[in-house]
Amino acid sequence: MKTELHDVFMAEGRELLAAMRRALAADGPSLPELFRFSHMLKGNVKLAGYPELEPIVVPLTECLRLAKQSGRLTEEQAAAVSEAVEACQGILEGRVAGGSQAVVERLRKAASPLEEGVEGAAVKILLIEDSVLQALVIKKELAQSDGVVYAVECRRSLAEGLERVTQGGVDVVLLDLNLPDSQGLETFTEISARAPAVPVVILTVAADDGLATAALREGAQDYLVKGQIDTGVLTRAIRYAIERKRIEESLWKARRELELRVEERTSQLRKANSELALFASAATHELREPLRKIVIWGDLLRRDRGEALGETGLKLLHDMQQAARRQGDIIDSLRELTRVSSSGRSSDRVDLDAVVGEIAAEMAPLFAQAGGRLTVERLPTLRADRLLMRLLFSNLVANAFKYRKKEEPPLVAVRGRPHGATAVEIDVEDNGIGFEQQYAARIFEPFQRLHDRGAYEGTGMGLAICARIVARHGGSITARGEPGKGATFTVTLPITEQVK
Amino acid sequence: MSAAAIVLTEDDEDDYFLAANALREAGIGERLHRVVDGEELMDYLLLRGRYAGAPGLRPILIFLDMRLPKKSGWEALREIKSDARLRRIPVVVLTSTNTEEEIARAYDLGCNSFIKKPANLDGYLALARAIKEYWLALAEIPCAAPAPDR
Repeated sequence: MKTELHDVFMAEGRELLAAMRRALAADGPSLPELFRFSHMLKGNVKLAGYPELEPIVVPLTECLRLAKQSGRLTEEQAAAVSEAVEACQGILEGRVAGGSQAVVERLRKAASPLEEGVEGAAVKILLIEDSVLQALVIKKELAQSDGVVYAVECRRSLAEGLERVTQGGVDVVLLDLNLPDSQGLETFTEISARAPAVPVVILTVAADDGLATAALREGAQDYLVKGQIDTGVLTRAIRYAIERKRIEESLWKARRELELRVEERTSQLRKANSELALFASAATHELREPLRKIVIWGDLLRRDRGEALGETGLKLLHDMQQAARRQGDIIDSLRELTRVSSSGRSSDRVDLDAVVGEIAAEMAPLFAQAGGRLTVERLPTLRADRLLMRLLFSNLVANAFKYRKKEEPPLVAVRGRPHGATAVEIDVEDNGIGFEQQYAARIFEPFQRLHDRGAYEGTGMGLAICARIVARHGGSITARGEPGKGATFTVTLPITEQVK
Repeated sequence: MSAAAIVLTEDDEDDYFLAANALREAGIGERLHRVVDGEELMDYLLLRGRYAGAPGLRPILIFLDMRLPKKSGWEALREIKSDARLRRIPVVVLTSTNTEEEIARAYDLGCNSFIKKPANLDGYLALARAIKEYWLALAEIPCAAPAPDR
């Protein structure tokens, strides 16, 4: 019972089909246009009540909808669409073809990769919300959005939400903070701990503003007030949340890369340093050997030809050998300095009382000879390199002894005291010749000497070595002095681990 | 050549001159045999290379410098002390550096003495006398190492 109306619809249907053929023939057909024609055709077919056409038009429209959303139509898919359009045309012209089922099959096949593409492009939302009504509202708002496709999955408790978010494939979480099994901020922290890389938008009620801001501080991307949610607000919040999180992640990644590069550079530097130390050690050895020979050939010269040299000759020979010895000492002390700065540092439990006690015992005869005294008081136990600690304090004590006053017995005291909770201070105090305070920093530099070489032997390296040792332990060393009134060297060392 | 020799491993002409003269002055110079690097030392001890077929070379003491061309003193020391045929021969390390690490390592490898090369002539003379008095008179050492395989 075909009506007049039926004819009107079908006339329009013919026009639509013709428009689609034209569109398909064009180079790069407009997908939104094709979909619109197909969608209208589907309406006409339904209104006209044309059961022969419906089985083709419905999948055709679906296929074009997917094509529009994913923005692409391959040649194969275009061919299937064309075929479907031709089949519709044929049916309308009364040439009922037998192969309409095959046409539908081909359409379905062509559409399926499109479907996957659209699903892949969809924004995957995990909605954790116990109110079914609220969930429906949000789903409805999202369904109305233009362009972007949202795939929404709902969970109604924190436990279910955690399980889902752990499985991955979630682009954004919409989270109600008050769930049957979790309330308040904790709901957010649980989710964010489980999936730190997934952006979270909080769903809240107007009264909970404070809670929402707290969640923002904890790292939530945004919050939406229930009852004030519309499609625009919702999709914008989701888009921004994803975008912000992506930026955060890439920042984090960049930072991580930077850290790695710094690490790499540091290890290169460390390698270069140790190569340099090796070179310095070999070089100082090579520099030192000829000096040893100079001294020995001098000895031979004195023994075998000494008479021929005469008194002046022997004096010159002696001075020459002295100079060679002195240069040897300087090279030795340089080697010591590089060794102290670059060799590996072990971390021993060092009882400084015992270490300085040993030094005191060794130096006791020297002090006794000069009528003086070395006292050791309250030294701590700490984590340090034992050999370096021994070198440090024996240098400081030797230094104090060396710069004693000729007319007064040397009195040297080594004393420890706590410096805050994490460090100790150790003073090495003497009653020697002292120095002018303005030179206090300079005496720790290599080769720096404040007193003339004739009066005090040495290479000017002892305190430089001390400064390096202290620096390698993360501590500091300072000197206070006054001419004629003695000097005090203060070593500050961190106590990295509790050892006592 | 005497059946029992003192081997001096030394690549440096000056140092060899000094040590040899000091040992000669101490009266033990004629028993000295010089090798110039670790390779030659091992050849000498194991009767290989140009020492193949040499008769009855039984060192009673080895002086070993650590800085040597080709095979270093460290490698030679390790090989000597891990070879059952050679490990009884006393090895006196005579070298120019004496850091804590080097001394410890040398004794770990089994050296019998570690001496820094003297810094003056008197030091060399004293060293030669001490070697003579200690290793050649006071100390008991195996009179012959097991003969190496030919």
